[in-house]
Amino acid sequence: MSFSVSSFWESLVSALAYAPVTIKLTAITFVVSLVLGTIIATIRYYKVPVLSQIFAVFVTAYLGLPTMVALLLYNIIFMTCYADVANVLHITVPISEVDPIIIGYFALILGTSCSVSESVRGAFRGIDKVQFEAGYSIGLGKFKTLTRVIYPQMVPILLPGLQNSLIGLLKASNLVSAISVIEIMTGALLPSLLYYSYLEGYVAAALVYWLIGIGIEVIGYLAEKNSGKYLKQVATG
Amino acid sequence: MIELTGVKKSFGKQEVLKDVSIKVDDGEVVVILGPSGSGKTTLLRSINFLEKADSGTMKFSDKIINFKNPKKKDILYMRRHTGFVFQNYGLFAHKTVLQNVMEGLVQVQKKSKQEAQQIAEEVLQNVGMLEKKDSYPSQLSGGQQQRVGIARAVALKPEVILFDEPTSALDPELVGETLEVIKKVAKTGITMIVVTHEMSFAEDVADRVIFMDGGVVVEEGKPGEIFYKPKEERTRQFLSRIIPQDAYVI
Repeated sequence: MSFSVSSFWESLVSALAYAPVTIKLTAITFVVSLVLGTIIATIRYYKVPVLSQIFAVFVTAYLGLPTMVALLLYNIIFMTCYADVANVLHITVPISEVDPIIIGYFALILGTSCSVSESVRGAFRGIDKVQFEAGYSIGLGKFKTLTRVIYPQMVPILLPGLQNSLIGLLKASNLVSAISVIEIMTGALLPSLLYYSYLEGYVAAALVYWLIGIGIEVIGYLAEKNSGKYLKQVATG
Repeated sequence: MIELTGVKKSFGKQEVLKDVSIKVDDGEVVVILGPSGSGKTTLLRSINFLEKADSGTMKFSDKIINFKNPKKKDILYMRRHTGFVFQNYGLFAHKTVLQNVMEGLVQVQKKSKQEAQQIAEEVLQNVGMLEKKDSYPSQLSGGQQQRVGIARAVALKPEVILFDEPTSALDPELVGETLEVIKKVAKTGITMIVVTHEMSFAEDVADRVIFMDGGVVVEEGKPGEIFYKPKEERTRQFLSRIIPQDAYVI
């Protein structure tokens, strides 16, 4: 088996050119999921009638659905229903003009929101009840108690888990290649299609994912170091 | 003035408050005594709705609030006009001492940061915690945390301060410094309702002592009357266990 450095280099350059697609997809999905997941967890924590039951069933059911199945399912629904829906809504853009990445966003955001909501629920359990009561006792309302007291205290609890979710999401974002979105892996394979240099292509893709992964871990490390300074030091011995 | 009438509360099948009525006048310091499970803490917590009583009414200033279905506005009103000092301090863990005291001043009373800081520093000075203003609660002893807890309540200038066993979680050595601070607050003439087991504190500071047991008020009166001439057998029984009859040396 031979390894062509020049083909590898070409694949690496091509993969890097598509890295912004993956990074943007991962980052936007993560931020939106963090917001949605926190809202879902808060609704469930406060046992808001009807909504909390709906989300409990939805999250439990949805977490069992593989991302690839979800992605292909939404894609096929989109393909078959787009014309009719566009007709009703008077959208004149033909389906060929619609960027398939929106289906990627949809599938990834749904899945990540569910898993993030479970982490946030865990973080809620890590907060002492008296922190809520202290907020109420000085006259803060429910919303301000959450935003001023509870959510900030969740950050250090959530960070390790969120870093894990973010790396998982980075890797899952690769699946959008299945619905013909060109991202890091398919980008790395573009030169391979010409030269049959698949080994070089895959290694280049792996390297780029690995670099982004390291970047996330460095950010995670710095965030952990800078948050929760108020917490007691870890017991020694 | 704060007046509770016919307050009832059950946790499941357990009836914790069975038709309790108390009245506290402006500027009065009232100590509520009683064994654990007597309902004293629940009663105190229902005043600012940290606990939701099942029925009864509360008269506060010119408001009459029904415990059965209090309006959100009334709950907020009570919380904004009463201070609460927690047994386990309840300081905001992620905020410094100064930020803890400033939070309500800025977020609730909408004071400017500058003004809030000035008030906070003054109150912290009074409880002897100004030097620690930049520390986090986890860096303080229990007694220091509780003094900050008191400062946080006092800074908001509430009409009534509710103390829920403020020294129960403290090392015996730290009880004194905390009680001194509470006494100092009492001298400012603010209305206080204190749930405590500290008899000598009650005797020194209280205008009136209320003895509760089994979810009812058994007896109330001046500290001297309750401690030395209790009318009810149950009060006598309780006090005999708390006030040592004979001091002995081990």
